[in-house]
Amino acid sequence: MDYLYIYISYVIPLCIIIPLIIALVRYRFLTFPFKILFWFLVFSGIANAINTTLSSHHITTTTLFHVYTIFEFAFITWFFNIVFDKRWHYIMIGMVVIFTILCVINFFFVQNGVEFDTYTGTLEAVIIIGYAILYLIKENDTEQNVTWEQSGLNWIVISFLIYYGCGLFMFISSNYLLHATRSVNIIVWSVFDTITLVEYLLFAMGFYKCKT
Amino acid sequence: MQNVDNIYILVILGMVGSFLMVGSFILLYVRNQNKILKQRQQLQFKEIEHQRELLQAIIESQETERKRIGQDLHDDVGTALSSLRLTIEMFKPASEEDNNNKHVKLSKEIIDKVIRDVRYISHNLSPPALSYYGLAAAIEEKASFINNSGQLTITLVNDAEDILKDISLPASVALYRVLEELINNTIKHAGATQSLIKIAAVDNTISITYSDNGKGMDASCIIVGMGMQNIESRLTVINADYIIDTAAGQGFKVNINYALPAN
Repeated sequence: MDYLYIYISYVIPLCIIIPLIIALVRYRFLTFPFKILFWFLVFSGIANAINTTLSSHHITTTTLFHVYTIFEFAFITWFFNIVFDKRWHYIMIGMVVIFTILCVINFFFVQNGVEFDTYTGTLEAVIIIGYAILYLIKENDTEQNVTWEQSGLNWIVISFLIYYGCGLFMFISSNYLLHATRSVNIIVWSVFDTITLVEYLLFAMGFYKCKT
Repeated sequence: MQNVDNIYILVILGMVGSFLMVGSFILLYVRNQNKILKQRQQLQFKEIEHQRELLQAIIESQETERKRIGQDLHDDVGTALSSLRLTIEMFKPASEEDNNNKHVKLSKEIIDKVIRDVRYISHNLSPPALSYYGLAAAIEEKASFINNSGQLTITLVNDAEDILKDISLPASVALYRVLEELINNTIKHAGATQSLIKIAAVDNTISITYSDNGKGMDASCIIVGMGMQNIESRLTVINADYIIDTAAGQGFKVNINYALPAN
């Protein structure tokens, strides 16, 4: 169980370095969406580091998740705003504004700071799954001249689809974890963090293929 | 407590299950996209092949027609003109001062000129040297003719005598016509005094370099007129490629590479 604890507390958070290093190596080839993703990963890494540090001092970090969700949604919406055509521009801005308001209401009036933001987290996951599906539909309608694997954006989008699609169960039920035993927590978070690792590896692939 | 634990088994199973589902969907989607791309590429390739076959058919029918016209000119018109010349030869005026003498002389000159022109047109339409003696002989004959006319001095350097014998007739005709077009372009537009045709062979590839000392042109302004299109069409049909190297004031150079088919 200690190994799993090290795995979820240190190994997985450190794995964010993999896509960051590849992004830094390919930085001059990165187009704007990839740069947004790069800075999102930097932000995510910093948030993870703060979470790990506070947790190790037995400080509750659920409030951090409420704030993190807002920025996570903003970054990812910004990414898709660039990828999609201009029709979606104002819709996406509106969605960020509305989502932020919902998060604030949720934090102050619905789920207080000692609970995970399961409502807004799940809503965020559903919206991002929607973005990913829209992207796949758009790609399906566009004539491609290269194989699917050659496009960096494809890898990024499927990583979102896998992470938020599989993580949906986790976002829904994370408040139940607060009442579970330590070993159950570790096991469940291990499975979820493995999906996070898959996400990081797919991001790394996306950055690697960004030149095409 | 027991109920809470059971929920987590369900959560784990849910995450794994959805991972398998999402993963399968993505794999099938990617497979489908790549399949569509492959089909499109195959279709494009077939379309290009079809266009090439059509082009080849057009060029072949063009050559057949040229050959027919050339032969008809030589056999029918040329023969008739020669007979006319003989007929006029038989007409003998009474004396040198007879006015008819001048008309006879003029008529003979005109007929001689027409015979020469018909022979030239007939040769141009379908050079006999190409069919009987091959590409090298046909190019030598053309170069010799142009040199004698004084329009241009063509130097031919042939380092691929043996391999030129292995070229098929359609490829020989295509390369001959391309060189003919290049020579015509030099005479009409380049204002050059000299040109060089160099033929070499590397492995199974024939390399023909044509260059002149004319005024050249800005490479970005090469106008793709009928002549250049003709060159491109003929080279495309025989799967040869070419590179143009020119600049204003620096002459015109084109390098053609033709790989002999394996069989």
